[in-house]
Amino acid sequence: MLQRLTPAITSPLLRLRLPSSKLSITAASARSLSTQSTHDTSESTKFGALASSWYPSKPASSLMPPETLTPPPRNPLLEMNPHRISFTLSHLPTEEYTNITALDVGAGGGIATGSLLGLGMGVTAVEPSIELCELLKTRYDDTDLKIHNGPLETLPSTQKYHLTTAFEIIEHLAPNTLPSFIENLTSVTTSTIVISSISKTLTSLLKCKLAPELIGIVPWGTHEYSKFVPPETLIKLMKENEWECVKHEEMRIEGGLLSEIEFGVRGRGGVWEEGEGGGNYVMAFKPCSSSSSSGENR
Amino acid sequence: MSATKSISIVGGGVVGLTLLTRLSRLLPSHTIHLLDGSPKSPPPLSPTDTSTIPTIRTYALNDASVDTLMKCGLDVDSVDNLRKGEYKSMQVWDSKTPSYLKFDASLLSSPKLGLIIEDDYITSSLETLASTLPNAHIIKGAHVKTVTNNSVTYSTSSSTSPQTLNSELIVGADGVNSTVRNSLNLGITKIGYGRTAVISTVKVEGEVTGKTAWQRFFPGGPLALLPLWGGYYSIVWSTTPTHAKALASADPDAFLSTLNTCISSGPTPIKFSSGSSLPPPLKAVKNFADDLVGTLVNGISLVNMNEKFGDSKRFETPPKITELISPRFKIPLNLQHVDSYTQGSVVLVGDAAHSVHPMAGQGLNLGIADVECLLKCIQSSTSTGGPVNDEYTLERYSKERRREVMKIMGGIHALHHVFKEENDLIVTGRALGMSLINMSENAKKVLARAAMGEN
Repeated sequence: MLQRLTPAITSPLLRLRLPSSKLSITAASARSLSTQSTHDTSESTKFGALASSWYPSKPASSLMPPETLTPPPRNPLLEMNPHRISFTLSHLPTEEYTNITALDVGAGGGIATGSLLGLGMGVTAVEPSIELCELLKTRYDDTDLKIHNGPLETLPSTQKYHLTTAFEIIEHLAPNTLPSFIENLTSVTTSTIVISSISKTLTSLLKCKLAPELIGIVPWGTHEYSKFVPPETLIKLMKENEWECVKHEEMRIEGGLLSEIEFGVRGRGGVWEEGEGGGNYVMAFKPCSSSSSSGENR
Repeated sequence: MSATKSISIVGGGVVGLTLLTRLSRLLPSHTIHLLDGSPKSPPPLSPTDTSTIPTIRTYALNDASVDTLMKCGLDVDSVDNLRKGEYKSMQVWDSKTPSYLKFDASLLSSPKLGLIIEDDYITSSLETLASTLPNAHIIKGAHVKTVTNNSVTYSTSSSTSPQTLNSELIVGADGVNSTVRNSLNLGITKIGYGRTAVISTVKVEGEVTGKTAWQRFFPGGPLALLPLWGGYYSIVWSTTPTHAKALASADPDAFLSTLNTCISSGPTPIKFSSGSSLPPPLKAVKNFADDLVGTLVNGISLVNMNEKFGDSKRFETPPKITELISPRFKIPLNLQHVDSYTQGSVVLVGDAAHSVHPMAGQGLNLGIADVECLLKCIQSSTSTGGPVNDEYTLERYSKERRREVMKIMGGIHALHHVFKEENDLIVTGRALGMSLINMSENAKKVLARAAMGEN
């Protein structure tokens, strides 16, 4: 049951399609991929409301005295981005980034999208929230970014991509739709899939949900523990679609409680290491047949 | 030159010149040299001539400083002085809460709270006065090389070889980066404010200067609009270095409109942090508390604005600024204090010994008070047959001034922190505190007396 976009969402889309812009936004039109909607509207509403605070805000005028001397709360995604991008780059089929087409699923405000664009890739961003699509459009107005407003299953399946990324997305899907999402993800990708998410352990409950939401680093209710995806579930689902995990890293904080607090307050000190035991994880997948030939498996 | 009966003053600013004039009269048999780094004197400004626009650097003088200058022979408060800015009241208000403080001269049954005077006017007048004193000598363009316990070595552009002045007493009045202090390695305690002041002169609508000094506090520091004369006002905006840089380099029209926006707004209703990231139950509690406290704070400050209190308590809106008439200068602000004002026969006065934030307008007043105190101490020694460099006397000066300056510094530093704070509880406390002080005549009297240099 495909969820049709309501007129309220499609009409701003028409407004977005300005002739002057090199950007193109395709509206969800034809039913193309899997049958099940993975889109949880409450999630896209929630993140759409955060559009204005996605990036550190600049004062309205540099001449007005600073309203506040303390820096605004930062977006933790900005700090995670360098690692997940360098991780992604080490699993690409070629180092000629300009030859690569990439699909960023659940692009959000476009933190990872911007990095991929900056490396010269041909990027398509998939994002169900219209507010975030508008943010993407203003932010990357001078690039060739293609923006698709809608969930992954509404993407026309005519094109396949070398690289597909789904950063911090699979814990925000509609309940019980992960298999369908993974199926779609694998069917649009030819070479590499990189997924990052949050593990489902006591550590991740404390470190990725309770602590940051109580301190206020992320807004209350950003994550739901029940939606967290254990790494083995993801590996199993990918395997069912004949994709194999070639690298699995998790973020640990070394140095005990004080370091954990420092990480919470200043966002520094997280170390990405292979294997399990952290809260956040990032995984690279290759099709089963190719990974054995490239010798990149573990 | 014999070391006896000779005194050297290093630094030709207002403090050094005041000391020169006062000492020359007190000790007519001494020869007193003043070494001034700047090669030229500022052009003399006639107090009755208002045709030239004000020079950019100005000082706030309290009653005690006006008295000292009067003793030097400079009547800055004269009715004939048309280049003085006189303020009868001062309004201090907050950019984040509706609270304000209004000080009025009537509190102290005094005709004024203070004067705003141009640096060039005082400097040139004092130089003219000193030139009439037979034992006072000003050496212009003197670059001090070394200072020892009883000699100063300097060079001037007119003579190639360095010259040495042997002196019984050496006074360092050479400002924040004092050469005298540095060459003697006197210990100093520095607290960087991390703030920069932007100064400028402006003209307001109507070309009439009022009798109120305005100061609005932002988290980065206060914006002061200080009355001069003929519609001219002096601007002193202390803020973060980044903001100061933007202000100083902005297009003049944009700078003017920002000035007007910032000085003309207020009283501002109190706003609390949104708390949007809090869990829902806590958020509800916070919203309720914010509403309650906000109503209380806004209400109390409304009481202050009641008509029946008259102008001495009421909030007034500053005049509209229409013209920028000078370039803008940036001055980095420091808080520093020497550990001892004296070593052997060397003493420090003014900014060489202490520098403070300009928010209270106390910088020069403290320096002039140093001069008065030093004179009192020297006089007590010489009148009983002692030398001018009597160690015990100089030590007494150091202790007395250090204690006084410490009090003022502490007060200014506390203000800096109170207005910098963004914590909701502290902002509420400061708002309530200001409103309550504004209602209490006695509390305001104590503060006004301290600012006016009275004990």
